[in-house]
Parts: sequence; C-alpha cells; structure tokens
Amino acid sequence: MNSGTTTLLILKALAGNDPVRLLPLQKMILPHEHAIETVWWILWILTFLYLTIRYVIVPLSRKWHR
Amino acid sequence: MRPLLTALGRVTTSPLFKRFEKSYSRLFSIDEIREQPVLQWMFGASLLFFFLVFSYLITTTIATDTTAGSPACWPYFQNCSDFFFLRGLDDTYSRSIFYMVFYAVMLLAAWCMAKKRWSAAHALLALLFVWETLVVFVFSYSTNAPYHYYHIFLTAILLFIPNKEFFLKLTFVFLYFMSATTKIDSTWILGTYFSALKAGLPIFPDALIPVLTNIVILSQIVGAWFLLSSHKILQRTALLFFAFFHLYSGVFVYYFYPTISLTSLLILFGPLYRPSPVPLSFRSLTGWTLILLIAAFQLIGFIVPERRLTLEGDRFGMFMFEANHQCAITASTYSSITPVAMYFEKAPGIPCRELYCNVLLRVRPKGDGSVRTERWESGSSLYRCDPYEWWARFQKVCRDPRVQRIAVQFDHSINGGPFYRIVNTENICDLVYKPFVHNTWIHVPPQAPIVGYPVKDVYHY
Repeated sequence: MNSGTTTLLILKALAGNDPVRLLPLQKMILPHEHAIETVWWILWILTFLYLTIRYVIVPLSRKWHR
Repeated sequence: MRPLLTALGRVTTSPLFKRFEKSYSRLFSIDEIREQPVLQWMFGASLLFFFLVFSYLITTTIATDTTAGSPACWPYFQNCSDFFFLRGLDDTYSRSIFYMVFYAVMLLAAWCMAKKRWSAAHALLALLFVWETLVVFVFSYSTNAPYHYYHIFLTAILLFIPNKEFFLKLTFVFLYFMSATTKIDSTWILGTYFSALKAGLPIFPDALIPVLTNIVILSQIVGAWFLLSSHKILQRTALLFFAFFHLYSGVFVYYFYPTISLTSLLILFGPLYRPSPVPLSFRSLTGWTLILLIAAFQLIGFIVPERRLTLEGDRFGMFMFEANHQCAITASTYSSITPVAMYFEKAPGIPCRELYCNVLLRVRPKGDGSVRTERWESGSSLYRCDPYEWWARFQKVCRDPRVQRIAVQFDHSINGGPFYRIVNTENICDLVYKPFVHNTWIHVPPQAPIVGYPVKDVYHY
C-alpha cells in the first residue's frame, strides 16, 4: 500500500473543500456560518412557536373558556 | 371456483360479518375515505409506493437469511438477523413466494378500491404497511431512506388516524419543517455537499450553490406552511415551488422519493386542495401524538453532536443529503489461518463504480498464522461511511475462532473537508457499539487527527 496516497481518495496535494478551494461565495459566507446557523435556528423555533400558539393553543384555550 | 365465490359471498353478506365490518370501519374512520376523494387518491399513491418498495425488496437480500453475514440491523436491535425467515433464490423460493403473495394483495387492494370496498382495501393495505414498517424499523438498517419514513408516516395516518385529510396535510408539511433541521449546518449553509462533487449542482451554475441551498432551507422552514394557506396565490406558489423542487431533486434521488413526495404533494395540495379546520377534539389526540412522535424521531439524532462525522444517530429522522461522505477503511486481520500468499492493489485513479470498493488485499505469513490486510474506499457521496456498519461487519469475522484480532483504521471526510482518522484500534473485536450515545472509540477532532484531503467526490447509485 502506498500509505496515504493510494487510489481514489487520500491525495494530500488535492484538497476538496479546503478553504482555498471553496467557491468565492462560500468563502464570503464561511466567517458568518455560525451566525447564519443561529439565524436559521431562531427562525425555525419562532415559526414553530407562532404556529403552535396561533393554531393550537389559542383555539384550545378559547374552547376551554367557552 | 364458483362454489368458493358463493361461499365467500355468503360469508361477506352474513349479519356477523356486516357487524364486524361496521366496527372495523368505525375504529379506523373508514367513512372518511368513502367520502373524500383526496383520501381515495392517497390510497392509490400509497399503493403505488408499496409496489415500488416491494419490487425492490423482492430482488434484494434485505430481511433475508443470506444477509446474516452483513450489517443489516439497527444499532438498537443488533441481532435482528436472528429473526429472518426468508431465503433467497439460491436456497429456496421463500422470498419470491412471499413477495408474490404481496403482489396478489396489491392487486386485490386495487380491485377493492375500484369497487369502493374500502374496508377490504384498508385491511389489505394494512398488511403491506405492517411488513414495510417491520422491514424499515426492525429488519434492515443500511438501505433505509427518508422516503420510507415519508411513506410509513403518511400511510399510518391514512389507515389508522381520524381526521385523515387534515393530518395527512399537516404531516406532509411538518416533514419538510423537520427536514430543515438536518440542513442547518455547513452542508447546506455553505452548500459544500454539492461543491464537493466533481459534477457540481445539476442545471444551475456552481457559483449559485450557497444561494440555492439557503433558499431550500428557508422554503422548508417557512415556505412549506403556505401549502396549508387559504390564500390562493400563496398556496399555489408554494405548490409550484415544491413541485419543481421534487422534480429537480429527482435528478439525484431518481424515482423513489418523488413517487411518494410529489404524488402526495399534488394530491393533497393540488386541484383537490381545500383548507381544513384544525381539529382539537379528543378524537384528534392520536393525530397530534403522531406529530410529536415524528418530531421526537427527528430530534433524537441530535443526541450525538458530531453525528455527521461519527454517523451515530444519523439515520433517525429525515437525513437526506445530510453530508457528502468519503471514507477509507484499512483492516488487518491476525489469525491462525495458514497463509496463502496473496497480493492485489487497485491502480491509482481507477474510479470506483460501486458504493465502496476493495482497493487492496495482501496476505502474508506472521508466526504460525497470517495477517490479511484489506483496504476499502468509498465510491459515491451517497454512501454514508457509517463506522457502525463496518464494526458490525468485522464483528461477524471476529466470531471465527481462528481470528485473534482485527486492527482497523477508519478515515472519514465530510463535505470535501479533511480526512479524520475517526477509528484507530488494535482490535475492533473488543469494542462494543452502543445506540443513542456517543461511542468513545469513535474519535472526533481534535482527538481524531487529519490524515489527508479528498479529491472531488462523485454521486452515483
């Protein structure tokens, strides 16, 4: 075995998505990746809360108080 | 034949049978199916997908005794192959016979649907449902895909849950919403799944990859809910977007996924769409419980923080395109087997046309026995490179009393990033794989060292 430089995958000279090989837009986004991830999670949680409150909790509480 | 049909006719018209049918119908809310064309169409869509799944299962060794030598079981039920009762064509005809019986069940279900015998069609579809659920959640692991989960959840509602139309629509949208949780990481935020591919993204230029992948995240978090809107323009826009999305993703996933997702989308949200009121009665409790179960099923995967690299819990929930995987596994088996000198090594640059390929085999004498060194490399980003699968495979070899130990190195790269040596053990036979927790013998950075970088990956089945 040619340790570490065999057939298909491990070629140390050829980086796949090593930062130097990222697309220009990906390089721009990379420093903000965690911030974007947080924004998506906040949006996910807010959407979940809004829909649950608007369509389940509010109608249920109205029903119980009737 | 005629006496048999006469007897069958007599049974089905007897008062006892009528009473049973009425109770059965009430228990599973079958009147809803009788009255609502959208549910009747969903019956057809579900049956079509059963046909697709079973036409695949009849040709594979999944849940068949011959797979006893491969890692076929979920980590939470590692001895599932003890319960396999089917045999492949090389042994007996049991698997073919079994699935041809299901073929007859599918034909009969279609006939019952055409004749509007919905209770009978329901019972037949329930049979198919039970077997698919057993195969997916009990008898197999590596070959499970999110489209199976889609089909099982939607069919469960169609068969067993009251307020079927509402919960089918809600579940369909909720599955998009849950799929978004898989996409909130660098695979989709940067779009590295696709930029790590040699062929890039189909149709669209690679420069747009991060824009498009983030549009998908937004659409699954927020856009999908507009499918349930009573605002016609918003609802139709969402419908068109997701119809295009499924046709486009079919370039990667082929026919299975769109056959359940696109057909359900068009049936539930297409011309037959009408806004449904939110059911909040006691009867709707089973539907809401299922929604919670789907959420739990998705979120259970988050138990292990580095699951993209370790693959622990990766198959829970909608895990489609969660990461672009590449791996290389090297194993040296030390045994008392008398060696037959052997050497094979694949020449560099020869593409691997399978999900993974054996690229090296070398057997050499060592003391009174031998060392057999083998190396495998992945050939498609579709292959998940799950250390559990390889652990299970090696455990089978460990059972041979002549085997003393198996040293394993498992190198894994995700999304074109560095190869990390996530497993490096002198003897994998001594290791235990635990479900639902992180297995400390699977290392993550910085404990797992970088051992190289990958070339661009390819995607193929």
